[in-house]
Amino acid sequence: MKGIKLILILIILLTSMFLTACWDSVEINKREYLFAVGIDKEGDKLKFTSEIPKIIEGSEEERIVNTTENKSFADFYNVSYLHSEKAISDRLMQVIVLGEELAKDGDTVKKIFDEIQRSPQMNRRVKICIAKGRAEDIINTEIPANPLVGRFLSDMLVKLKRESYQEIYTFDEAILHLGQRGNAMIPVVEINEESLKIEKAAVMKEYELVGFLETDELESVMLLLDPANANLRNINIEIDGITMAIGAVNVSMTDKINLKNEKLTVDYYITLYCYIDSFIIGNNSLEDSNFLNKIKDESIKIISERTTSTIDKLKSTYKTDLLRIKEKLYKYHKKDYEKIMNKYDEVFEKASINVHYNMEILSVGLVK
Amino acid sequence: MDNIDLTQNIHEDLKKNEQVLRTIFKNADDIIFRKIEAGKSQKLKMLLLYVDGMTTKEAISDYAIETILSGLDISNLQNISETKLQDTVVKSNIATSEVQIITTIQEIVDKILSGETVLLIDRCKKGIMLSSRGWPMRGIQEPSAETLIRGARDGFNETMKVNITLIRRRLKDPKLKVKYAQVGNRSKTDIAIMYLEDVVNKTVLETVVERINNINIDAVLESSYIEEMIEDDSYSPFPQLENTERPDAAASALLEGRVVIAVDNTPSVLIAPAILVSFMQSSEDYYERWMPSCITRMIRYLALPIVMLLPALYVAVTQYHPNLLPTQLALYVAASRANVPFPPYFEALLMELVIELVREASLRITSPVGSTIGLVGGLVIGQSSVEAGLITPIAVIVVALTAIASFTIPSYNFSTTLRMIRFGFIILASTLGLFGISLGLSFLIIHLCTLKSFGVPYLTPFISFVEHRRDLKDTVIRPKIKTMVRKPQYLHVEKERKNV
Amino acid sequence: MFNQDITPYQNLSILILVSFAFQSMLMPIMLTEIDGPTGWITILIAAVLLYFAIKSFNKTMKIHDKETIVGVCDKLFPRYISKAIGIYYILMFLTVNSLLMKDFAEQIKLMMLFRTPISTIILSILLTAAYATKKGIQTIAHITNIALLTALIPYLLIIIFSTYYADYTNIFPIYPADTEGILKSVPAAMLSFLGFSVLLFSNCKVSVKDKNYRLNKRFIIISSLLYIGCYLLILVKFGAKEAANLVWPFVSIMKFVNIPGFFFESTEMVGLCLQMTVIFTGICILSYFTNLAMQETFKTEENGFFIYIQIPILYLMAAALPGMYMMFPYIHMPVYIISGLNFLIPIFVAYAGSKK
Repeated sequence: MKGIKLILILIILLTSMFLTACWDSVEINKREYLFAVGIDKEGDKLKFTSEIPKIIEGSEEERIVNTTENKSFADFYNVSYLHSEKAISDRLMQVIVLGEELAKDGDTVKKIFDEIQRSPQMNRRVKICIAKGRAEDIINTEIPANPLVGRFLSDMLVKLKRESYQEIYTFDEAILHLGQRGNAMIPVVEINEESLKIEKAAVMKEYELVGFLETDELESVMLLLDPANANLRNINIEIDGITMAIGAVNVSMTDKINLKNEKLTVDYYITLYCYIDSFIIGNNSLEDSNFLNKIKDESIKIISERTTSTIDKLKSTYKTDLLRIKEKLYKYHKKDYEKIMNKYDEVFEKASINVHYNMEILSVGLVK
Repeated sequence: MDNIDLTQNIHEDLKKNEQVLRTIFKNADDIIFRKIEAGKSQKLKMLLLYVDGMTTKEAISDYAIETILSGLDISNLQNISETKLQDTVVKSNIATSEVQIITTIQEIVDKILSGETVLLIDRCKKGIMLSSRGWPMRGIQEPSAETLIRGARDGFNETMKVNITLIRRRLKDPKLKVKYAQVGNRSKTDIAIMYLEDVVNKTVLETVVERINNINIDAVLESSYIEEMIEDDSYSPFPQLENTERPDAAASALLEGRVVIAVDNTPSVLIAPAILVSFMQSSEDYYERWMPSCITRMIRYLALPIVMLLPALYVAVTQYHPNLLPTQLALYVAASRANVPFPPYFEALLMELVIELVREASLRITSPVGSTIGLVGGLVIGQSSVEAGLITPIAVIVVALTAIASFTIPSYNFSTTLRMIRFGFIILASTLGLFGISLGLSFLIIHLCTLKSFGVPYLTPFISFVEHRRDLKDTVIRPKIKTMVRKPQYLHVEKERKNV
Repeated sequence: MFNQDITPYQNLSILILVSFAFQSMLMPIMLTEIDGPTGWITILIAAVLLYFAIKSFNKTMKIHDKETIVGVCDKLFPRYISKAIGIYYILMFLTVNSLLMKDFAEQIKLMMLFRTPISTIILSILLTAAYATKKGIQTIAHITNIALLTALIPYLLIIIFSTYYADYTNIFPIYPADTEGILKSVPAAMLSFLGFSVLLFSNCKVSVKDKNYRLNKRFIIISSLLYIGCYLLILVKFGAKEAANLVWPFVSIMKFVNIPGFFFESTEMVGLCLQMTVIFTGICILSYFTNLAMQETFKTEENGFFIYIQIPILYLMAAALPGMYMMFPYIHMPVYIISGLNFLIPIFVAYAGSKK
């Protein structure tokens, strides 16, 4: 009897659920997946360029690119919903591209970031980059090998992050950096003939684009931020008319931060462990230790110059502490930090930041 | 027959006895009444009763009748007393293994029907039972449902005594006890409860004995009757007793301290108590090297969620959460579903139904054709329905994977249960998505946590994994036999070490 | 041997699990209260206080080892005091249970079933929990152990994995710490060890008493370690400033899961399903002990009956109460009061018990 009652209750519950539920059921093929969204500023409004892969069987991929003008993300969804027979879904969103002009408008960026962050649905691991020029053009680029721009950019950003070419790649990192430190380096995507390239990084300060870092500058900043994983590409030098390339395989760094009377002094001591990548056949001067010293001096000169100019740019042009000196002060010298907390930007501008390089050549390769 | 009082004692007059018995066995032509007149001048009248076909003819003709006829030397029949006569007959070299004196008509009837021969003597108030059981019997064959690559090839057959022998051959221990009982008002089926006296859990044993004694049923045609009558919760879909056709599995259960119930006419024995873990163990795990067995065991545990949840997950993902899939796959699934007319839940239910149909059909068809039908049916239906655009290839893969996974679970009745539960999960997934599945799982876990088999919680040892941490090692992995010298903790056995 | 009681370790897992469910809910209070990443000091202070409270209370419990706190009060105090204490615990359990349920239902609605009415979600959780509650303490203990094995451990693993690409220097600065904030959030940290209130009721159901008293203390240690661990993981991932900004840090961290080689697009669903099992078990445990408190207070032997009274109450409370995230501005006073009473009642009872 007891069992029958239980079964009856179960049946009633299940049928009532079965009859009334399924509020959220939308079949996978009745959704439209936004893969990439480019956002540009168009007067007061925002121009959304969205890429949606066509759902077709077979190996070839096609896409639809839509452009609408809306006030916000939510507005964009509503409009898209009315323009399609399918339910719009941002759950597979791969990449968000912000136009250059938009990125320069801090308030709008704040609004957009907040909307993404607040949304429970959107994947926070969506990748982010800033377009050099208009985001619309980036999304509209037809790449022959990979028709989906969203996937192209997503794969590319994952690769660059893994190899430490770029500091961040996802939206969650961007929002964390901007929230915690007030600045971030966001990858910059450019049109490269029939394809796209990501070489530079945009310097964002207080949700506002202040400028770009060239590839070399980005490399120097990355070296100072995370020396263990830094990817120092070849240092090309010329000695006695022979051009040669040196690659760093291992980098070690120590830093010293000192604050005296609101004068900030930061010293970085970096040791590069290098291999010689290219030289010339028939020349045996690599056996000569004097020659090796010459190589060291020359490379250190080049790399120091590069670093110094980057730091100067950060200090004077962008006035942005991408090196996270403020954070280090807060974490390890909280008392010092509290003294200059409110006028840090001035202190940073006047700070003397010195990078002392040292180099050791570990190997010359397979031949002498 | 109704009017005859079966409890009455055997009458002195042989004719009267014969009359009574003939009334009882009216219209039962397979009961043989063989009258013998023995002794000098044929003065000694005797009646031999047996069932044709249930007795070994040689035992009766060669040993019983011949010795009585030729060997019995009673010169002065009139003078000897009743007991003396009986004694003489019993002692007269009747060359059968067992001879027993019986007193009532009831006993006569019972003995005859169990295949024994009864000898009634005129002027004697007691009958003599001559053991002569013997009936056509299947030889000891490899158990078809539990075949192994390595391991003993003998399996139980329908004769309980043979089964007991097979177990005893593996455990030559005087502590191995066998208790007989009879169940079934009409079938009078013999049951043997076996246990190792010093390691069995007394509470479990008492519960088993008590529940078997309380069974009130007409006939026991298979051990499953007993299983249903003594299990803890008959509303639960989960089996609460294990059954095996393998004597080695039964012996190992005995060694663990569990109780084995052998039922006559059933080629498998029941093992109590059963816990979830025991349904996932196969004898082969212990016969192969431990490391590969470990992996196999883990794969089997992996099959458990696949059997229960994979079609439901398919439904939940396609209807509710496409973002759970890797992007590429999500697009592929969406594309393959583009022209399918049915919603995913229907697709899954349909394919599951087809699989169940094919499985059931291949069981009903004679074995050589059966497997072919299964293969062909599955292939043809799957292939052509994909081509016709009725279902997606993904659904076929999902359902086929589920079916394959369900066959990796060693216990047939356990995997049947899991397969049934799957339908519930599909419905839940189609109504509430992943939340529905979680809800269903919670419900299932609550049920399993409540379930007990003869007082032992079903999910032992996971439900008390700190106390019973020693038992954990023989669950998802298969440890070295060296490390398993101690008895399982969950049974609270009295004698702990396996070796001493 | 197969008695109806639970084992000491099962009791321990009940306490840890119910505390964990609460810790994950009350963590935001601590994150917002304290300026800087020093909340673990708060947790340590709370744990030490509770450790000594348990020590003294268990001395009294050893004399009346078959009784819950309400039963002990009956023997020590006049009737009305013990009734009042009983009713306080009933109300407290009901409130925290409905808060837990509401919060949890809200999470599911937002993350998984956006258009499904929240009442359906609450009702389905409630009914399933009621089914478990009716089965008694042993079933609850079993479920807890299963949840610990199959949900809590994988859940913690996912959280740990989500700190890939995290900045481990976020746990600094430790000195100088925000002393005021630390002290102010101690009550919240104490309240999140809800196992402390549950053990006042669960201890009498344990079969091996002596071992259980030892394990009670170990509960505080394990639970506080778990709490500190989770707190630090969240800090490491988000940083103190951003973490204070989050409504559900434990759900948000799921959105950041970044396991190398992990190909699923979004893991928060998997995490949420695991979390669901954990919280669901917490709800089952709380409703069982509400039942027990009712049974002790009203002196009835009806064990499972009270769940029928609880279902509508819980449902209405969960439907009426705003979510935890909406209550942050007003939560301080209630937290201080409940936490204070939860801490003081057992100490009061222990003091009275030692005098007699």
